[in-house]
Amino acid sequence: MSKLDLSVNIAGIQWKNPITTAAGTFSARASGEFYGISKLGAVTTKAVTLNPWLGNQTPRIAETYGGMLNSVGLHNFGVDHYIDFELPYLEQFDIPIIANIAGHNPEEYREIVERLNSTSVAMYEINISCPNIAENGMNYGAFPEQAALITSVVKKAAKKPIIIKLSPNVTDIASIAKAVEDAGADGISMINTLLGMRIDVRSRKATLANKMGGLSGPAIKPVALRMVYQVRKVVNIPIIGMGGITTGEDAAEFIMAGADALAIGTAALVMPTAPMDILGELRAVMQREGFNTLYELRQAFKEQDERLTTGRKQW
Amino acid sequence: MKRIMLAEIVGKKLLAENIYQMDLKLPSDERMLAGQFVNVYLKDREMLLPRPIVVCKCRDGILTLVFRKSGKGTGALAGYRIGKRIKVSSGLGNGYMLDDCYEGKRVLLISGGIGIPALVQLARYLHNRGAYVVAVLGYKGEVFLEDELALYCDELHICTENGKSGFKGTVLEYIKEHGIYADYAFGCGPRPMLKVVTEYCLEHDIPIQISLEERMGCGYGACIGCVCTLKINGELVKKQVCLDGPIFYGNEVVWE
Ligand SMILES: Cc1cc2nc3c(=O)[nH]c(=O)nc-3n(C[C@H](O)[C@H](O)[C@H](O)COP(=O)(O)OP(=O)(O)OC[C@H]3O[C@@H](n4cnc5c(N)ncnc54)[C@H](O)[C@@H]3O)c2cc1C
Ligand SMILES: Cc1cc2nc3c(=O)[nH]c(=O)nc-3n(C[C@H](O)[C@H](O)[C@H](O)COP(=O)(O)O)c2cc1C
Ligand code: FES
Repeated sequence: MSKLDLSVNIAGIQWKNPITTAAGTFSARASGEFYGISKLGAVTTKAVTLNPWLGNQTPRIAETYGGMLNSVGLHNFGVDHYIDFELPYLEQFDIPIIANIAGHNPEEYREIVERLNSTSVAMYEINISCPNIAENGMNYGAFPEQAALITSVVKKAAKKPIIIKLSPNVTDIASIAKAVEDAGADGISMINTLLGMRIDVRSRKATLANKMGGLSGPAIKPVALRMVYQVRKVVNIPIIGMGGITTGEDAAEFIMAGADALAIGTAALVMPTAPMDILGELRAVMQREGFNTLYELRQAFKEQDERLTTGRKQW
Repeated sequence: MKRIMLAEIVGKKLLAENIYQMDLKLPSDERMLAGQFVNVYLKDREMLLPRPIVVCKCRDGILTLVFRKSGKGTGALAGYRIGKRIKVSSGLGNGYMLDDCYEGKRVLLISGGIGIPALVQLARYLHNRGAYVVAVLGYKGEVFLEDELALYCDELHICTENGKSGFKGTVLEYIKEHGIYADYAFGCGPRPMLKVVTEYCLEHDIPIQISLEERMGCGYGACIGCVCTLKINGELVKKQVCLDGPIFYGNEVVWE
């Protein structure tokens, strides 16, 4: 008999397995046509804003080598619609609900959190990193002071754990992670999409109507993994790792790099059952490698890694 | 539940220049509606996203797709041999909104180019329900699927750009010139054609349903990549082409 235990505890919330959905790549009704949502560890919903947003013009999607670009923007019906129509539907699955939240300014973040405090949402994922919010792809997630400001404003208002979602479009991700931990974050999720672009040579136009968009999928996995590894070294709060996770082997790599849980995004857009497939494959990888818990898996890498680093110059 | 299936290529035919028909044997019989599409997965994972292709017909576990070789993905698909297995999804999106009111009615099917395959299953449905089916089809040059459609259409009018077969001109020119009337219309094809055809039908009080295309990420409703704008009861709304469509009522579509 296997003693495999994949349950995790993220900032005080118990998940029966480490797999959640990446914000913006899941719809309970649409994804639920392909697999049982209640089998997920947790469910993360698309960015919700104070008022409805229409998102950007189409085309909003472009394929790239082993990845995709999106400029969907924060297309959603606003927090009231979320509370009235989306939450009641999600509650039936009886798994933790993580609400991804975005705003124009700190006040908006605070107001959304206050509205959600008395709902069934289990934790907040604060999106300070969506590259589509402001012009030139700038965002709060790009500066430690700004990131810390949003974190402390939300932390004060929130009655649930807050996870800060980091942008990879920065020079030193570790300093931003440290800044949000110090400002009171209960966890970190990473990474959001990398700002990218494509040009259609024949039509002499950018492929996306918005010109630039967020790159996701297998193409970004090495970058995401490296960033999780760097951030794990400087923070003690849980990390939800994401960015190109497509197989059980990918999932194991993220756990080893220091992630406590995992979100599946683009892989699920491509193959709707991906979260379940990856969970099954992760189990198989653990059994094959002889691990019973995610902690053991993580430690096995950490010990080796520390041994290999000792005596060597850090870079 | 919907699913992703492994299907075997059991037939492949070149219908016209760059236009391929592919027959796929599904693991079991699947119900796919006229107007729905499937996601086709390519073998080369460099091309991450599935390609949406309309259901031409699906009967007895054989799904027929007709596609134009227009880029890398459809190029790869065209090169796959009989016997190869590829992944395809269940029918996605909503089919045409059909009821039982077609008995003895004149129904106009208007299509052009690679939109034509979408009409095959629809024409069969309408024919079987006793409609008088009139198809007006536009081609660049070479004509395809006309024999198949002739089985279900009471009138079949072919228009070509170069006049090589049938009427020389566009489908709209043909319809106007011949004063074609119908109780209902269905359209599928390039957006500029759909726009003028829809405007014509609305002017003549012919309710029309049309099939829209948009760049897709997931094709099943999860990414909100594929939106279009509709005007419903005077209010502008965004709808997902893959989930709410791809079939929409012509009078609600905002053309921009
Ligand atoms: C609902 C729907 C039904 C369709 N039905 C058919 C059909 O029955 N027969 C047929 O030949 N074609 C159909 N198309 C168009 C077909 O999906 C594209 O021709 C195909 O995706 C092109 O892929 P590619 O790799 O060859 O081209 P590339 O240009 O190399 O593709 C690059 C990316 O752009 C996307 N893309 C390119 N052209 C289109 C397009 N016109 N529409 C949507 N996405 C596009 C591709 O899916 C891919 O993600 C349909 C499209 C939609 C949205
Ligand atoms: C279509 C699409 C929409 C997204 N929307 C959001 C969003 O609303 N909020 C957010 O924080 N991240 C959003 N993301 C980023 C994903 O949650 C995830 O961080 C990123 O895609 C990397 O993971 P992946 O490679 O597994 O997709 C979106 C990504 C995609 C592809
Ligand atoms: S293509 Fe993803 S929602 Fe339509």
